[in-house]
Amino acid sequence: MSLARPRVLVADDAVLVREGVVQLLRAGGCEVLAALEDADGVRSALASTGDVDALVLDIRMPPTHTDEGLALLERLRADGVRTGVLLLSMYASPTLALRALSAGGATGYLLKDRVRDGGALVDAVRTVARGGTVVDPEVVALMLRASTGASRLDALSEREREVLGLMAEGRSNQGIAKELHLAVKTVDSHVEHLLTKMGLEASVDEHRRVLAVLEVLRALDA
Amino acid sequence: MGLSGTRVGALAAPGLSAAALVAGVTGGFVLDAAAPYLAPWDVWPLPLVATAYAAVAAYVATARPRLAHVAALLLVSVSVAAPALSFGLAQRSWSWVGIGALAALAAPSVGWVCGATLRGEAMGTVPRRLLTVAVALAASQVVVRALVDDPAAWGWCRCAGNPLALTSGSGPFERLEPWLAVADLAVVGLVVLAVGTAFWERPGRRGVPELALVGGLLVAAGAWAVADLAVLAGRPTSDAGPALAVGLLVVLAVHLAGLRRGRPSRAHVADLLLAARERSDPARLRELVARAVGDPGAAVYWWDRESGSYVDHLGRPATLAADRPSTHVLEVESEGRPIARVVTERPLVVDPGIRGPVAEALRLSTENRLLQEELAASLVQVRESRSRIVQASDEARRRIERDLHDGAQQLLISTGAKLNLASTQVDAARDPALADALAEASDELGRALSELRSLARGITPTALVHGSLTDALEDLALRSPVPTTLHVTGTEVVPAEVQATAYFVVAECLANVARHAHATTVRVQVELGRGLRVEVADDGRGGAEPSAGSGLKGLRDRVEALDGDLTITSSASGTAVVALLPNDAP
Repeated sequence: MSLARPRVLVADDAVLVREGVVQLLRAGGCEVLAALEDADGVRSALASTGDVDALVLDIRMPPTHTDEGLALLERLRADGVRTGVLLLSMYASPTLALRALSAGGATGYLLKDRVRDGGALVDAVRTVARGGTVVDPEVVALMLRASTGASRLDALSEREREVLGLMAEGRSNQGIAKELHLAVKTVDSHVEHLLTKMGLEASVDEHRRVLAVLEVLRALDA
Repeated sequence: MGLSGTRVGALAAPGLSAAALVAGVTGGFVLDAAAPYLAPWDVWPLPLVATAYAAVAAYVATARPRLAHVAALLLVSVSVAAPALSFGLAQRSWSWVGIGALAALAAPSVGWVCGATLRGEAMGTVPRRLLTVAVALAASQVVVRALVDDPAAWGWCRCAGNPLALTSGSGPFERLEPWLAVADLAVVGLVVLAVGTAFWERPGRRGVPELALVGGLLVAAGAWAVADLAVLAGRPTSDAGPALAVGLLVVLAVHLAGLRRGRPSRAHVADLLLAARERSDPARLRELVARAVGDPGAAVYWWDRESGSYVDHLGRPATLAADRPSTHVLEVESEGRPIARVVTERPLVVDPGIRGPVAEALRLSTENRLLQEELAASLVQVRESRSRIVQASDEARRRIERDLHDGAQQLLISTGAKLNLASTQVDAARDPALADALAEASDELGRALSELRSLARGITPTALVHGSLTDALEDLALRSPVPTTLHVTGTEVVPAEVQATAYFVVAECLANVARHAHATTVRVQVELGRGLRVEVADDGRGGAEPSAGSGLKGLRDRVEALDGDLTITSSASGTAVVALLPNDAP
């Protein structure tokens, strides 16, 4: 998997947004294999193209303009397809984000607004292509605010919550350190602490990070 | 016994009464004078009974002039008085034999009175046939006696001879007499059977009056049977007279009470008018009409505008109405349109003072019902149109939201992408002003997008577009600045309008809590029972006024448009808003 130049399929029925996304991805060093209009197009392109690192899907596509992108993600996961999927949404909806992440790893949920920040879009695509998880900062903010009083997150300190929020956005420890103006080692220690507090110790690092984010999301369900 | 209705003049009543009284008293005196060897209780009872029956006949002739009825009562009177009259007339006129023979008609005519008391004049087929046979048998006795009985010729008494007598010696009479007694027993038996059947078939209550009536008849029948058996035994007696009189008086008393009860009266009409004004069901109205016109079998048929025909109180087509003569039918119309038709079992001859109000009552009840139906129909229309307005506004909201997404938002996003691409091509070191300008433009674009999103969210429950009501409510709870607990059960099967309304209720209430309540927690509970129950309760300082904010008022309109109900209770310890939404909204 050549992540230096991820191979991406883009699907959005809105022509202007689709073109914008394609241009940004190309400018960000991705290889856009195809730009499609609907979920069926994605399925046939996947079948014919084969080696794809990430899908960038609009949640709302024809025919019903409701949740086709999300439904496609769920069908792909059910079929055992582990390709990274980044959903682009008009809505800062924690419940939709939870549904997306519940489908399995290598999944992202990003507001379409982020398209005007090409770097964030490309970062997110790379993260899901690597098997990581991305949740839009605005959604994370809503989730963290709501998770006040929720079980396993209670034990976290203010700083640890902040770090967890950024983890949920898909940032690496380096990225978090930069954002919070901390030393990477400090961030490492925060991450280790919060994962321990959340009971997520003995596991592969990347997977633990996903589980931590899912925990945040599940806390909302309780 | 014919049932043709003939009106006996009301003037006949006093005359009949007086005549009956005179006949009774005269009969008594004559009997007393002619047979001084008889004890007074053998002399007086039967003439008095005859007088009483004649008096009731006179009353009936005034109140409910029906020939069959008056005739039956008079026949009882005459036949009961017959032996006494015959006794008195014996020395003066040859008619005494014929009059004495009329006594045979007493039993069938009393039977008719009993049957009519129990079942009305129509009485039922079996009792009527049994009585007809009894009458025929009794009438043949009268004829036979009139043709063979001539005691004067045989030297049995010093009385007037019978010019009708066909035989010369007493032999044929002596041979016939036991058979006449047997025939009389048969007549009594048939009468008891007829009345028993009428009693058994009586549709209404069988209470004390009915039992008393049958008891009275049995006493009278017993008396007749004793007399007949005495004849058969060769020792004629008149000892049964007092018992016969008691039995017949009991029968008459019950009959009179029944007459007064079943008599068409203003009081019954008043009941009917009251029932017509209130909303009474057709079965109840029929019963009251039947009572008001004094015919328990009266049927009422209502004109059904849809089918253009008459239907009964159960909505079945009127089948009986067509074959009745016009005397049995009362047509009720209003402004030339048919309203109802009353069909009676016997000719409907009632006081115009009752007939008019009965028609008026039926008119009133029908017009009431039509008004109520129209009201109900227009309520349904209002409800449907309110619901359509809500649906149309929801649809408009969805369209606006969609237009925002497909139009403005898409343009802004693609503009953002272009700005971003442009900024990557600017060398910030060489042209910092341009780089700053681009960054600023991008930030502003971000704010514009953010505002557009919140605008779109306010227009329509976007989360409902994508997911369940539960998801949408969760998103609402998450956005609520006041900590919110949410419990949702069973909302998946609820129609879209109801889901949207539940969403708007919670959204508006949470917004109100955030703005006014100064609450520390909010509880949102949505449950599906017989309908969808939505409750939003906070622990704030209360003071919510449904009339004050247009928000709560609009909410109430929306809830009521679905035929739901919104209750707001607000006190110093918090505010609770409960919306009950029917699950089958149109």
